[in-house]
Amino acid sequence: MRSFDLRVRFPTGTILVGGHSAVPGGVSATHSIDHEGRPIIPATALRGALRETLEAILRGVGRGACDSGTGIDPTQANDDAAPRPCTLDGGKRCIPCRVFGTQRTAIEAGERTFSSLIMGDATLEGDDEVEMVTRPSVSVSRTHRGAENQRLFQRQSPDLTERVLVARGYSVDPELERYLEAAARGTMHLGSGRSIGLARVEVELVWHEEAAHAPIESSVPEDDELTIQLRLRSPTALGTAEASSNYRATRTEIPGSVLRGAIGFAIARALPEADRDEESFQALVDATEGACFGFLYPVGGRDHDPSRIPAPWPTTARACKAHPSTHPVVDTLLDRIAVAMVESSTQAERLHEGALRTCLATGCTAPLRNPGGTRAHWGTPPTRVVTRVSIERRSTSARNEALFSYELLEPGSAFRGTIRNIPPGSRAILARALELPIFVGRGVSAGWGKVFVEPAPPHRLPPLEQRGTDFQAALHDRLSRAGLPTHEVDRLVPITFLSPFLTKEEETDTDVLAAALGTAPAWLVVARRFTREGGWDQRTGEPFAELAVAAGAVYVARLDRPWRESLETLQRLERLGAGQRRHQGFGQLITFDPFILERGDSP
Amino acid sequence: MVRDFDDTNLNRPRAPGDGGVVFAGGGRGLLVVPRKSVSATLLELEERYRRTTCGGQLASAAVPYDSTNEAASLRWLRLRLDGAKDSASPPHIPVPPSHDQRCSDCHVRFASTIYSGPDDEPISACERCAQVIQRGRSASRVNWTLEDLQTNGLVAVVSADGNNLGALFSGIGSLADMAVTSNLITAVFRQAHERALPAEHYVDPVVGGDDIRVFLPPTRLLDYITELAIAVDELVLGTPTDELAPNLRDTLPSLGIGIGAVIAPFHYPASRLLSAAHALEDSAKANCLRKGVRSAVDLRLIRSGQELGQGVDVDSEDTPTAIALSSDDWSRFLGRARALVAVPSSQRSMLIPRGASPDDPVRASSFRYQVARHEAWRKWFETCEIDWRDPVELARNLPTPQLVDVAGLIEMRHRESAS
Repeated sequence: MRSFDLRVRFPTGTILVGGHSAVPGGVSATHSIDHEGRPIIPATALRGALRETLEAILRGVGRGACDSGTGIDPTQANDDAAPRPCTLDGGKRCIPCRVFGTQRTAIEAGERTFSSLIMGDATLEGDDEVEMVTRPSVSVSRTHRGAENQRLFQRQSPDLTERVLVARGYSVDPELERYLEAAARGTMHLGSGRSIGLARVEVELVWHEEAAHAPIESSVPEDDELTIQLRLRSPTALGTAEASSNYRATRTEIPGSVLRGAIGFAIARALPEADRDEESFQALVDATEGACFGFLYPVGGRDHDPSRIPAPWPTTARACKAHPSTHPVVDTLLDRIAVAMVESSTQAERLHEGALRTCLATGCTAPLRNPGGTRAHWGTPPTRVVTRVSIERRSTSARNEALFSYELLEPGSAFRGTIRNIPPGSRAILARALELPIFVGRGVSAGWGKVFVEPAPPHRLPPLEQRGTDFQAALHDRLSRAGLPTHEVDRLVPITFLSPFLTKEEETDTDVLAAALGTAPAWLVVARRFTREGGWDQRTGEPFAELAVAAGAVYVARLDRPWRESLETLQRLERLGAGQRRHQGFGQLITFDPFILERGDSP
Repeated sequence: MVRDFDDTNLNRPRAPGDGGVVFAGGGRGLLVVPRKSVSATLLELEERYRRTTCGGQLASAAVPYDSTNEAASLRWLRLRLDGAKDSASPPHIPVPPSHDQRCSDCHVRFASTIYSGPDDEPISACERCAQVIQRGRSASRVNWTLEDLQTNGLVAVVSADGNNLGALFSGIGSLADMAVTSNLITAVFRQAHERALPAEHYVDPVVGGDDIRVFLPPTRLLDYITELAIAVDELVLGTPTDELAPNLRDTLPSLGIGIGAVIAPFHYPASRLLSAAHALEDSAKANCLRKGVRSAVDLRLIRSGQELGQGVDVDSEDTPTAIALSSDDWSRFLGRARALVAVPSSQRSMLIPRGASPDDPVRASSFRYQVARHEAWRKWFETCEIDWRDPVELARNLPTPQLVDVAGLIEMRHRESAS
């Protein structure tokens, strides 16, 4: 891979690329801005302009070039306007398709990206603010020499006099670099308003010399577990199991499968062919014996509590309805266990008096509800929706059924998770992979999903036995105060899932857990919701979806013996997880979650 | 569909000794059945709900009924029900693996049937979506499309929910009180909603219990909000209390409503607009808890490009946007909005955030200049009894984007009346 900067200058002092950002009231169109309000040129607009130029150049010299990746030759009459696989270059994909991508749902064997060009949005160089200027334009009637009714438009565009916007990217195919250079040199217009001088640009492509590979630092994990923090460097779109035809939402957590795939792709891009078959790499990604790439959940943000596990709230967690961001989040599992043990209305009444129903922060009596966000991050990470459209070359209007909206996670958000059970021989290659450019999610060719990865301090839980002792004591206290029997507290084991839990279609969740425990416990409490897991497999070009138990599920098993006699089983369960696809982070769990003991000021 | 489930619960004949229905509405209900019938009843309820709603999950719980201590039995039931939703069986909705096999409407379930679209085109859909479409088309009461409701391309969406119901129900000590309270709540909100509705041009897909979801022309929104809040107050205060239990008599006056409203282009995805309105409803309800008021509203105009965004900014302790309805706040807010109509819309639009910080000193200076040179602005500040010459007072009392949007709605209503 060879990196470059694409530098864009504006001879007329401005540009207008719309359809990306919300239009303020009183304005007809506004230029694209990022999450900080600074002007950008979306990568899709840049790619479109470069592609249009390259297509024209190639057609001019008699080479085949399809229209915007549709596989359609615009120089030929076409009765059928339906997109098709491109074969215009001697039976193969045309050069613009190889550089910029084409309309296909899966990559071919040996490929790592949908196009040879990976390039992000062009962003402003320098820290100086840019003024947004509103320019009115009006249509004048030829008959009465006055303004036409409802033809006054206010266009808002940035003052980019003497300013440069720079897009950073990579080219993965050396043979296609000269075509990218030709496209850059030949691109003279970008965005709307060509006829009124808004779209004039000067584009310069600057290649970077290959940097020597940084030596492997001491980030090689010393044991079989590595906690990492991943920070988004560019907008990121993570596929969900459900998608409408023209709107793509994003997940707000990073599945282990995405991280695993991204690391695999990074290694494959960076390593010579022979090294990709190396035993250490294969051992790392083996589905059965390889590492477990855990889900990564948001961390940081306002009121971030670094002592919390970066994971979703348990289903039993509750937050103050009036002050959800400032009053403590509490857990109601002890109450639920008590409810399950009630055998008379008298017991119920006594339990009801001490149950967690309202916020117990000093001076607050607001009701409780499900908390938002996750344990280590208040709310959801910021996102924005961008709408892009493919322009048909001949009519220069929107292509039919080619308008898409994407929800993107904004750059800057941080996520944390753990890679567990790393084979000893694979630790060095994992450390090296984490230093390579890594992209997660869709839209890699548009520069989306670029992340910075660094080791993070592991979240150390107290030893299992200590947690179990604390839980047992708290439960004993709760049941005693409610006048409920306490003789079974030493047999109860709460299991909390930190990631979604998958089972085979013919199995129930409790069956799978029972098998993992090696016994058939009674289930005193089952508190879980269901969700759909899935996304898009780039290799097969097919979506996949399955029903899963959502992360945060809580189960309380009543064993046939004291839990202390099953310590080894419980430790193994925590280490290996439960259910299917554990190598992709599903089924990660803990027993005796310390959060269960957080009940606010409740006695 | 949920109403069908409720109606069956209410109307199904029961033999003597088979128990009876205490109340049923809004997908909720309370039944008393012989102990030997408990398991069968729970199973029947869950299966019938799933069948009636094409896959919906019903959370249910059962406790022994102690006629000598009804209140304790009800509390026990409430404790059990709190966790019932989380222990419900998995949804019986097979997940289709490919996009082609998915319903064109919900994009989740298997497409198992075909219905005719607006232009008679065949649309593959799941059973639930097809049934919902059919019911909507054959509804005799309302049959408007969102395009019928639009004014200047905009439509209004309201999501409302009762306030302080927890306090109301926590004091209930008998089955009879439970029935009275549940029916009272349903009646209050349904009647309040019907009093507030415009004569025509509305779509109210959800009106049950204390939940209201309605689509309206944007020019009718402010009247609807005002009338809804007034009607809830009047119906609550006008309820005869002589025969109510003491607990209920004491807590009933605290009943209020939290309202969220969104104004947006009518072609935006309706489900997303409902979600946004619901988020504002939550915002309004949280505001009620923080300020100790019975009713509040939070509303937003969603502009082009914002329609599918992360969500609307909601009321918070740092940025309060909800407005209390059960005080002078709302009438004062509307008064300011009406006065703002006199300021030209091009001047008002400069107050809409455009990426720059609202505290940006250049922007503040530019606004002071506009105020100084435009009599309309000066009159507005004078109407609001704000000294526009004082830069601190002026900065503190700038019209909010919300106020500007509501002024736009009032202006739209004036134009509609004039035409």
